Amino acid sequence: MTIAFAATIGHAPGWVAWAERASEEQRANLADAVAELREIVKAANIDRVIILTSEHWTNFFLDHISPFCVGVGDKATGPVEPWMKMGPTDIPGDTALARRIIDSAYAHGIEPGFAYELRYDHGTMVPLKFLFPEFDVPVVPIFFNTLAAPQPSPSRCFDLGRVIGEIARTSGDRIALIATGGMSHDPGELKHGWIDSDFDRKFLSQMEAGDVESLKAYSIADLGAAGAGTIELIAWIALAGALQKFSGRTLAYEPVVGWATGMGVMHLQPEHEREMA
Amino acid sequence: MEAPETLVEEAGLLPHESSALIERNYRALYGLGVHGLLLRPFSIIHEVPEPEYLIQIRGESQ
Repeated sequence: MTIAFAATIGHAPGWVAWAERASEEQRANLADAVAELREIVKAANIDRVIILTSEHWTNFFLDHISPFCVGVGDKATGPVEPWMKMGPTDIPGDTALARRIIDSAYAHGIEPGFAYELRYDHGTMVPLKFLFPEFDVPVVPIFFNTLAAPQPSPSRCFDLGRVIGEIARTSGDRIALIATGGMSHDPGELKHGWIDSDFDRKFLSQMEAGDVESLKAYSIADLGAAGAGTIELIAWIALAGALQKFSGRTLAYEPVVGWATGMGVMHLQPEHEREMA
Repeated sequence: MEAPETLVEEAGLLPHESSALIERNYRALYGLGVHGLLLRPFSIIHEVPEPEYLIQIRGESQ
């Protein structure tokens, strides 16, 4: 069918669990952005969500980490953190769609890990809460290793994204592609609380322009220089790979010191959708 | 952390690693390479406020 919706969105736990540490203006701007995205996604009549996401030692530890992990289970539960002030919820999956992504990736020379049993933490639950608050649309999660070096390179993530995009476009379903993470932050590390707004704004402008060459050219070190958590932006680059030709519109950018994170919310339009409009 | 001495022994930690963990020496643990997303939650369990945690891992004096 088509990629019926595409967006990038931060997932700082503070957005839900300690919202009051952002200023009133920041909270309002982010709420307006999410409300607009919510209206767009509701109108898109989404059948399935593919979320490009990261996790925070919830499923994987140093005994077993793969660069990518596709969730193939028929459901997953989250959030695991009791302090998230969200009751744990079962979210349906789509084993068949997940298997198609894996098979296609293998056919294209990329071998992601996969798991039938996964749990979601704030990294996946925060965006789902804002965009699909009923948690009733089946979700295929694709986790990127953003924590333990070596992480997959941005260009490799872009290539995996290309595979995901092809599957989404030919799936027969109306697919929402969501990339979550970032922007600049350094959680629990030496620069915790410092936000590299200049980097964030440059990255946003590259996403807005659909500048895939610049996005692919980032290294993990480039992203990590803006904070260890900034490496989560490899999911955004994978989304760029899924869309290939696109433009983006930043709905909000807020450097929220109280959440120790640069918060970006963007709506993306694939070129073929613009031609259809 | 229940019975930390037993835990560090079971984990096979070296003496300087064991003492850093038992003494909750965040500076030392950070220097040993403990990931921030593990160390900060560990400090939260032990009710260390964020500013104090950052002072400790940065080796700054209070």
